[in-house]
Amino acid sequence: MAVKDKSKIRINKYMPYFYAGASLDFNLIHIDREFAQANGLPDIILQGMCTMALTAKHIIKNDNPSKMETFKVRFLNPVIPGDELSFESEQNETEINVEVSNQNGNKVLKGHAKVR
Amino acid sequence: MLSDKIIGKKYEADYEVSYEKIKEFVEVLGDKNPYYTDRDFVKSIDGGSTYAPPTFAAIYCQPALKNLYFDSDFSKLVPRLVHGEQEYNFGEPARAGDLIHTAAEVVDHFNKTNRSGKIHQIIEILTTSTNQNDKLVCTATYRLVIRGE
Repeated sequence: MAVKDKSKIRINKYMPYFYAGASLDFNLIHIDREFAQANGLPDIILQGMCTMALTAKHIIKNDNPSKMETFKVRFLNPVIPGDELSFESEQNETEINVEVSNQNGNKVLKGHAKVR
Repeated sequence: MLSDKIIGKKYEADYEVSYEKIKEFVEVLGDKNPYYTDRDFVKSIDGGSTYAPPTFAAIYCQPALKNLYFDSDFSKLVPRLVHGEQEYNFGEPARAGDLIHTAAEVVDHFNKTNRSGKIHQIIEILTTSTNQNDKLVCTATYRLVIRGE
């Protein structure tokens, strides 16, 4: 029996800076708009690992995190501060498929987790 | 264009997981899971210290990867670098107080043409992280994309 789950998060405009501080990922495409735009991006973009971490949060909730055995994602589109992300997952036994879309319906991440 | 001599390059580093760093990390995510920050709760479950979230692997792998990013062949490409895919396989959970050793190796480098005809370079990095008891904590595959001009 498949179990479906949905959640939403608004990416506030400071999140790339806070995540940079916590993760030490100070690649300038995440924190300097001029630099990001000079390198062909629409704006500063959220660290992919931050989107992945938020997706893991959607999956694990308040459960024991060591139940997560594998977690694999593909990053499909950049996440821009201000985006509202929708997380949709479906669990069959120990297999979980997850997709994350932005407010325009564009998929930003597609992933799969296996739980113990 | 990055030369294929990047393949096989290896970098290693240690990282000590701290309660405070886990707390900072989950605060950014707005993650209130008690396994991460509630010491009394975790003690009552298994007597140990608090857990790091699975994706905290990005933090304990970072010192080894930083050595790659500062490599002269690689550092000039970092501005055009984005993350394509990420894969984790978890063993023992990482917990506050753990000393984690990570070895990173560049295992592949190839070109890929996207729909609009731009040539992107893909770099694949494998990391292996073990704790102070020589137990495997995590293996990870990073697929990084250097966007074509």
